[in-house]
Amino acid sequence: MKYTATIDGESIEVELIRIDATSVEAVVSGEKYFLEIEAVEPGVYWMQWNHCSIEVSVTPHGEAYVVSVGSQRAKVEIVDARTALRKAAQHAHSGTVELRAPMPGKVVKVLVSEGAAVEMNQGLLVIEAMKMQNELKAPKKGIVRKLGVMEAAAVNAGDLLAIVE
Amino acid sequence: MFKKILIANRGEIAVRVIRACREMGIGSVAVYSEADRSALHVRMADEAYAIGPAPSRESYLAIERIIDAAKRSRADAIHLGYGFLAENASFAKGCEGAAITFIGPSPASIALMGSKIEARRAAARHAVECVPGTVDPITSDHQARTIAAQVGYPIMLKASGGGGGKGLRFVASEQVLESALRNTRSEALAAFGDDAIYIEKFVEKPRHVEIQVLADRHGNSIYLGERECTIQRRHQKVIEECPSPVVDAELRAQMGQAALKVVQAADYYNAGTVEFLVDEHRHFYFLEMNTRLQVEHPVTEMVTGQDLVKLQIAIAAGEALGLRQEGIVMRGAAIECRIYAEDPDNNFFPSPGKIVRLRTPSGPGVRDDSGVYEGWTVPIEYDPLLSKLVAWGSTREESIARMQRALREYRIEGIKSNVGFFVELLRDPDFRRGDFDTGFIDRFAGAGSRRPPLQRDERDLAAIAAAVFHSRRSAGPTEVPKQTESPWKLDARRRGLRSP
Repeated sequence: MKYTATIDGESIEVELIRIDATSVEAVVSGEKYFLEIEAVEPGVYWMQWNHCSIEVSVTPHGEAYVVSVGSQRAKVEIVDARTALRKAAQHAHSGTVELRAPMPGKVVKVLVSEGAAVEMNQGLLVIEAMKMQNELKAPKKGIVRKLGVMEAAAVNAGDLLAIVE
Repeated sequence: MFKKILIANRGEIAVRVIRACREMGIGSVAVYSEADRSALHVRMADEAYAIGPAPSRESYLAIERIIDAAKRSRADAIHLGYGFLAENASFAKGCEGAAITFIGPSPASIALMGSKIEARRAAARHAVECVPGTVDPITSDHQARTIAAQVGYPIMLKASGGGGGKGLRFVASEQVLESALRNTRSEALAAFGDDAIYIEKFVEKPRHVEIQVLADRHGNSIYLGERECTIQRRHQKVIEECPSPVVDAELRAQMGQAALKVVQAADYYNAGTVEFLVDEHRHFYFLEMNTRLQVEHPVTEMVTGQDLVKLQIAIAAGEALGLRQEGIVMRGAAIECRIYAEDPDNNFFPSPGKIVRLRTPSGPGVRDDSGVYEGWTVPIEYDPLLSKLVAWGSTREESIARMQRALREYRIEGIKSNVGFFVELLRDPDFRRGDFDTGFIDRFAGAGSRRPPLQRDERDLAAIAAAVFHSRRSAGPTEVPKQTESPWKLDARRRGLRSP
């Protein structure tokens, strides 16, 4: 199975050639890997690679994953090859970007209205959590097509806040 | 001794006090807001009382509800921890009225030390040096200009009723003084209901060093060494150490004596902390006194071997301090990292949410004072402190190495934490040399993440793990690898079949 993995913004090709109960054979951007693998806990994999003992944990975060390797941590998006193609095509056509809540909290202020033209990094709304306010900024220059929330609304992590086209 | 203590706090400090109660054979009563129904402190206590909705002012700050819970539970004493009502003189008075012992100093001591201006005045009367500046609130802009010119710029403006890093403003020169005065006054009025402010000289390259004191109600008082609290962010401590890398035995004795003078000036009993600023030339100035248990008390406990919470309880019960100054021996070094649910890559913004996986460190010299558990959802309403990780070593180097090792063992998934940030910070050569001031974190964090990018192989393994997880998840539950049955169970089953 072929996937495109996006790690901290960088896209790489991952092909899982064979998975069985104790091992994985994979090719990552041309490099071949043969690993011992064991799911020691749900989402926690112990791997042995070139006799290095490595623990990797995978936690779903919205549609992506947070992966920890040692004290390093990265956000990884996984898309299978077909979906990747479709998404790329859609993206080229519509050019919309979704702004989602990075953490649960309360919307204390909405700074723009639907239909407003915004610059990249212009503040769109302010969310408060644990007594701290955080201004969420436009991910790109464009028009605010949709606002998913109103002032005083409570939001969960990953909720759609706005769509900028 | 008390039979039952109510703990009017939450999180790790409530858990800490419950532990002390249990060791002393005293019953423990937790109180909780609606947001904390299943919090660790509620689960651990012997009894628990709901005291109101999530907002603190309707629960953890609601004096009458807490006293009411104490009466209903027949608790004979209340421990406040830190924060919330811990330094509230009216609460202490309210306890007196309800014939419940307040585990802390007298309401008068709290009130005296709670006013920065009164505290400075009292210290000055007992020949303890304060940072040059005003003792009385400033009355006019003109007066402020004169005083600022006398002590010399840069200066700090401080709200009289402020604390916890709030109500402070740095003023670099006379040009910005007027607007700074206006802003500090209006902030102070909004935050503390009092616009009284005073001026202090800004000490360059300052370090925050505090002395732990203990005093009983029979006139005995001792100090238990210092804590180095210079590593701060937004005036909130992040890392604390005992001993301080800049304090030697001579300076410790001088600062300890000064702290005991402040104890005397405040007619103080129970545990308290006297904070000092230490300048580049190791000259120290009295800052303020915290009339409660400090967040960072564990580093002192690790190095002195004393249990400060149990001593607080014994003093409140009227016992005489069994310790003498000569009996306080400092052994080795301890360091504490405050583990917060926050995102170091996004300006340390709080990251509440469900802890989907938690593995806490242990092993030699490691203490984790935690207030959370796996599967619990960190509420959005309160301070995002998850735990205080403390490491002890026979030397400062060993305590840092142990802390590094413990941080690497720490796994918190589902929410973001500053664990990775500490791993980087503890590698900093200036930090390791002990060469830092209160501006350290801003410079360190301002320099951008020093976290090395993922190595090629780390990146590839992360991608493979995520792809494996993804493929198994999207394949549906049938293809999720089955947990292999325990051999014990299989064996038992085989025996079961064999039996007649």
